[in-house]
Amino acid sequence: MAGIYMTINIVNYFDPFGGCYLNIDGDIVSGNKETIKAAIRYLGKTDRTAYRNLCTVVDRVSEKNCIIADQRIDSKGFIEGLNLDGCYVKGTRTIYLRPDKSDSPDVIEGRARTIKHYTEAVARFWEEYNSKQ
Amino acid sequence: MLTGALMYRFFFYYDPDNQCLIRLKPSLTEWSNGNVKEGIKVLKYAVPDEYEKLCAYVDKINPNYSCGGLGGGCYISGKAPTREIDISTAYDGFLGWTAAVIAHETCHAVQHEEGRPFNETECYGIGNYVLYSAVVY
Repeated sequence: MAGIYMTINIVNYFDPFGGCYLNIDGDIVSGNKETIKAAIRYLGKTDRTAYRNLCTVVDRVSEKNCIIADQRIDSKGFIEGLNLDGCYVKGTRTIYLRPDKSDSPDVIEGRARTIKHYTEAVARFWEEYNSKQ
Repeated sequence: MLTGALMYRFFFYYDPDNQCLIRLKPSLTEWSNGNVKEGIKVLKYAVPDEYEKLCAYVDKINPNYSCGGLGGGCYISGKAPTREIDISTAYDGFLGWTAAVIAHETCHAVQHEEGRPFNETECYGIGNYVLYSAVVY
């Protein structure tokens, strides 16, 4: 059992007691998958409501630069997107975080804040969508 | 039964509510075609007008490397069938971008069907509109 738990947690985030499973996509070259997991654990310790919300409405946290504009139309917007801490694409249950190699506590806390912020965006989108159906 | 379920899972996008059926070709870079299917769903939920065009003008997506390069797309008007678009966004690409590329190539399919000349500016504008509509930051 412990072996299964450890194996799953190498690749993704699994908290059997908290009923939480999240796919984690790290950026091998310029990111750090471990700080995503640390940020989720940090959220679990400091904000249970946000953590439960995350585990309910999100199924993937991915380290990728956000693209908010086509650079051939809006190069300023394109660069602005690459520098965002994170974003959410409507119609999905994926949160994106800007790749960051650092494993400092500040980065972990910052990622926790970003995850919480975009978890709220995911929940809001699906609530609004479902209320229209 | 299992083979049929896997075929459906990997090689078809079907939305009965909107009568939308799109075939997805096999591809080594896309694996399960999951990224393209998720990109289609972004259009469905976030940019319904572009989703409507996709369902009306495209019936096949080729997710293999094409003239748009990795992370891009391509529409070849002389290629049969012409209701086919190439989308090579790679299996883990940013979903907002995948949706934008699908909408961009759909725009070319619409131009072709309507007998209009290809106009990249119009299609870049549509890709930009998809990103603007779908990405929350």
